[in-house]
Amino acid sequence: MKNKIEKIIIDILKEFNEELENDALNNPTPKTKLYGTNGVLDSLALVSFITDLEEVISEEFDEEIVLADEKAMSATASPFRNVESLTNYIQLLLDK
Amino acid sequence: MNNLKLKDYLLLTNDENKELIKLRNSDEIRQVSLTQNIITLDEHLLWLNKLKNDKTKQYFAVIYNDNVLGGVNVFDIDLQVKWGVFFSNKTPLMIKSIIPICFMDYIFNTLRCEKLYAEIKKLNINAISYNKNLGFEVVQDKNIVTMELNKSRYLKAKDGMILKRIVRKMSLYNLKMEIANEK
Repeated sequence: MKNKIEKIIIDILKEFNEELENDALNNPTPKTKLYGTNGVLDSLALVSFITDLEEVISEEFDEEIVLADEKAMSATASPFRNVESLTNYIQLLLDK
Repeated sequence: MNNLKLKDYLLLTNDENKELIKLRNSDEIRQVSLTQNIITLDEHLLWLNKLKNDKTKQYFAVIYNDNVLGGVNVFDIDLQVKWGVFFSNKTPLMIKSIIPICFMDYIFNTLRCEKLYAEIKKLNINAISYNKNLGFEVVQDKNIVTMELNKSRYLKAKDGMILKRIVRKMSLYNLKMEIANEK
């Protein structure tokens, strides 16, 4: 499941980069920093990315998840730090 | 309930003014502001008095469920119209995303602005990227970066991949704009 989640995240990031045109997103990896210090997404791009991700994850796993809740978005150890932390966070939500 | 409003500085209560000034004077905001001096409440109130008769500036506090989380402004309305925005670090990201769209709509549709500018510290990469996602383009790249946006470019950005999804989420918020009587 983890690999599938990671692939979804990376595919969406690549699609997003067609509009963002950010070199750091040409070849995203699990270590790619998303939001926060040295992150490649600003708040507008992150919210938009998460909204899309929620929809795709819900379709692929047939389960509604909410990533954009205020708790996650203001957590000190934000799940949106990098691709890996986001993958783990989504897996945790799906396992619940 | 997700009550979100843009409230004209001229309509703020005493408590809201205090909250606003506390936020404006915080390190997190001053670090990225073009003016970094501490503003006292008395200075702020004096400035509000001048603002009452100034047709070239409009300032709004961002208030979410009765908490002041930031501000947006439009100024030099008679010249090269500029906008500014600041948010507390605690502001939910969805709000940071919805507010500029609401405010751009106001600037281009209600104020009928043709071209809008933003001036941002070069080191504030996040703010530059944020403005780019709204459709702004860099027109001068110095220590202070000047960015420009016209209505057609904004509408194109609003219909683009990034903003379109945020626009869809706007209906989840009870969004109001409180504007002081015409100056």
